[in-house]
Amino acid sequence: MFDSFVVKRRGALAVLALSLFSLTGAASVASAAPAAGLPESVRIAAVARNATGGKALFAGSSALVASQGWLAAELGKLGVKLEWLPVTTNSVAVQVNEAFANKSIDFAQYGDLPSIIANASGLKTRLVVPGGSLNNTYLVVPFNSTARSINDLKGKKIALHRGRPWEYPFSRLLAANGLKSTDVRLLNLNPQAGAAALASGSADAFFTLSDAFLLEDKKIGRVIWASKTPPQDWKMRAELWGSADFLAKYPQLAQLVATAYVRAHQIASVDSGRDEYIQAEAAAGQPESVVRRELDGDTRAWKARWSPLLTAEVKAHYAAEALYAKQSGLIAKPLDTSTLYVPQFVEQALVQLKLQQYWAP
Amino acid sequence: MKQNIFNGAKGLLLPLAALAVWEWASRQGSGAAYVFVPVEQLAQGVAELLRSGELWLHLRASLTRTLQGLLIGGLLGIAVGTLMAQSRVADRLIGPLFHSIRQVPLLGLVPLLGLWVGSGDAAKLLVIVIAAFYPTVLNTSEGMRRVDQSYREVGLMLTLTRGQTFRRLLLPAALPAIVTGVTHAQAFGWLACVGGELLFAAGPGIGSLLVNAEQGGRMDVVLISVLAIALLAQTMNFLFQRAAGLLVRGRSTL
Amino acid sequence: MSTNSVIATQPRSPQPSHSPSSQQSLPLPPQPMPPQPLPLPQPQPPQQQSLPLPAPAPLPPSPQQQSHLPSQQSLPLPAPALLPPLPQQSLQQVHPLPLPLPLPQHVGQPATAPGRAPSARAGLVARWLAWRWSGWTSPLLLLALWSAATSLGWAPEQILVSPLQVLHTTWELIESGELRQHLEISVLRLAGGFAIGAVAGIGFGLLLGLSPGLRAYTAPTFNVLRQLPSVALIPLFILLFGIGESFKIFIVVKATFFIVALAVHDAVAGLSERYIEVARVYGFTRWQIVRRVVLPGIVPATLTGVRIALSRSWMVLVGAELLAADSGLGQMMEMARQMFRLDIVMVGVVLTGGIGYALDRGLRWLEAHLMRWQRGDRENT
Repeated sequence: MFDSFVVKRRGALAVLALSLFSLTGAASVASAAPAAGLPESVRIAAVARNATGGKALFAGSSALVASQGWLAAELGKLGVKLEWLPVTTNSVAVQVNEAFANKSIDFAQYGDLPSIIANASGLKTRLVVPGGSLNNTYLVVPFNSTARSINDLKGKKIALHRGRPWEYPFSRLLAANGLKSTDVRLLNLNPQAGAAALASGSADAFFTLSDAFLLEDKKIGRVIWASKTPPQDWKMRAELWGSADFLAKYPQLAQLVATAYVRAHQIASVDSGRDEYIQAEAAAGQPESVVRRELDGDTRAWKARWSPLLTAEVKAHYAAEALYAKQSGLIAKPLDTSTLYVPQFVEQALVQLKLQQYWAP
Repeated sequence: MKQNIFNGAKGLLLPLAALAVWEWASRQGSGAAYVFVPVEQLAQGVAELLRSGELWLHLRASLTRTLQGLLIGGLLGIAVGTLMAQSRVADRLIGPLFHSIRQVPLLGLVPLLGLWVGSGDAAKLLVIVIAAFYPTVLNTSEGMRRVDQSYREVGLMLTLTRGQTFRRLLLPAALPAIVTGVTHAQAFGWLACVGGELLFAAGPGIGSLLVNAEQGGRMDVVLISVLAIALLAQTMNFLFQRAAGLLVRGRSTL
Repeated sequence: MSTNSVIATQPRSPQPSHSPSSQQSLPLPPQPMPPQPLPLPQPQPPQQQSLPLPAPAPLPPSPQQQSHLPSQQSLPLPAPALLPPLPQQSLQQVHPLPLPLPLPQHVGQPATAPGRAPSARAGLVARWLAWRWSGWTSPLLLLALWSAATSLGWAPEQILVSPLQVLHTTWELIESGELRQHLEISVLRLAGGFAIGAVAGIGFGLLLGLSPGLRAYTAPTFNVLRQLPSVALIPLFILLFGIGESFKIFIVVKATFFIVALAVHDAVAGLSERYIEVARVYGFTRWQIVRRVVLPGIVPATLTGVRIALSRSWMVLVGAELLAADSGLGQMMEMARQMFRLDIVMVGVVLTGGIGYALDRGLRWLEAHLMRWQRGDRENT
């Protein structure tokens, strides 16, 4: 009888059934053993907007690297594929950190604060190529609001996505005006939700990147503060990070990636590169006017933006940010940021491309 | 016949009235027009999406994903459900685990799945597989268990082998329950597809279209996406009901 | 009593001498045939059928029509023997066909695993099955596997946290008061939205079931809206109502309303026509019919619908909080993801599951409790 069939094999069937349940956890957790030679592909995560056509179009320096095709060609010579992993703007930090954790990416171009959070929790990533598309941040209030500065928002609700890189400029803004984070009520909402909150009046202010201009265009909000003029070390950074394991295991591939990005930086940093960059950003889904407004009036020189040098300024920025993260409870244990840097890749790239003097101060 | 048409017309009255109210509301000022998008703008939005092929791209991705998930989850569910019904040991082992994990709301599992499986297509498919799995297991095991004792006696009398008993007696007898389970799985699977795409927003899918439209503040695309989701839900349900009717024609209800 | 056993279709004449069975212990005829001892499964009474499944299109269904709703009752946890043990004096005492062989031992029992008596291993399994706490075996095994995986380091700490860590974090969160805060807010939202949705759903479902006119006008719209997944409405509601409490409550209301309304409508439709006829014979007014016949009659199905609506709306609420909220369990999990604290995420997962379980159990208890006096009535009908 069928019953006795099952009974005789009940041990095996029970194990099979149980393993079906743990399939999800076990299967993805076990990471593949590394190949003796080179990996199958180098995977880079970059922010992408889902532009029309359903294809993800990347933004920033990664877009330049992808479109220039140099990296793909060089890796192809070694038999290694180049894979780009698009991450959506609403949750870049979470997606990239999780992807690093389950080893599905090797590099990512994303923000400074999420990298600090990742490293503080035990993940090991390293800053490979600093510089690039460094964003400005804006404080937006509803269109009809009477608030003129952050001081008018004391005690009010401000929508801010926690753990994202622009949280740090916000904290500097508060500190510069003598306010503490407890003086305002922070709503932890992702950028879309924050925009909706501002539109419907559930939030009295919204702190975000250049999507603030979209709200201005729709007459839903007004920008009352921008990070263009304050000191440079206030501003957030979004740079190329790599998994420490990968960097140790395949330094030559890492070098290729670093060189590709430095090359892209150099091409973008010439004056004519500015217009090309704007065109590329506009094609990636941001309206051109928004991109122009984001770049205009910025006190940071165009060329200096793209400098991949690991200067004392960069290090100080990260140290201060790690301190802020500890103080605000975003990380549990303090992080020593001196372990995060691997400047040798950029130095080597500059030598290879003969750009040692290009960004020298 | 005339009665049917009349009844059908009555059913249309409410949507038409709602449409009229909508159109009136959209003329009440720009703030209202933001929320109650004028019908012409909706039509233009639809045309635009169709022209760029975007709507079809996203719908196709969602539909294939849902069907794949339903197939995998359904088959797995039928297998596990049968196992649980046939073997007390399996039932005692799998049952408690299944019922406790089932209690966790599916969308609440998303953060964990995102970490373990990533945010891509695999994760979205997995959510649908799990969503299809739950109702199928429940209904299959229940249906198998309730197969009339007399059927099994017939099998014994006719000295059928165990395979034949299963294939010829138990499976057809439990088929109404299995089919109902699959219909439930379809409804829940579509919900899981949309929910998964909302939460893992990268890649093509009607949920991603919805979320991106919300991000861009395009209320018209949001409304169009919601309508598309509703219509697809209705269509799939109708198709599955029809298929179910064909499969269990003439059988007694469970 | 239905007598669709194959054996029972034999003529009821006392013919004892053909049976080879030596276990026949009944006195000789003219003893009437013993009653069929097999408690055959009854056709599914409507109150055990659950949702959500749309009634077969098109509406309105006839009062006699049963919705083909499957049972979604989950098995009790941990499970004792799930089926009532059949009386041992089964077919041997019945006068069957003159079979060449005695019927196998296990025919009278449900088709589950019989033990092959002589094997010691089978004896062990049987003992384990009979053990009251055997239902806890696999959860405990899973827990052991989980602990082993984390202590042996099969997966990095960021992917899998140990159970102890989860407990530790739960305690931390309880101490800081955060957990209670989030929990309260989520449960309040659920309660508020659910109350509104359930009451409205019952009312509308009653109207829909009792009034063919209303059905004709609203049924198609109702069906389309019902099948629309509530999660798809979240972005729309965010744009409409903002990020405040209202959009979450409305989402819960939407999810609850349609499920409960459908359940009530199906229950009203499935109510036996005879009750209404008897009531008319007694000269009840329409209102009295509703109050004295319809309302009590739909209680079981309504409770089932309410239970399903509760678990569905809990899921939708968690989803809404994950997407856009500044407080609540879902938001706690999302924030934990941003801070890369997997242990808090696991605490959230376990807690949402626990609440779902508690709500489900609670309503099942209520159902059983209310049905106790109902069942008494029903069995005498």
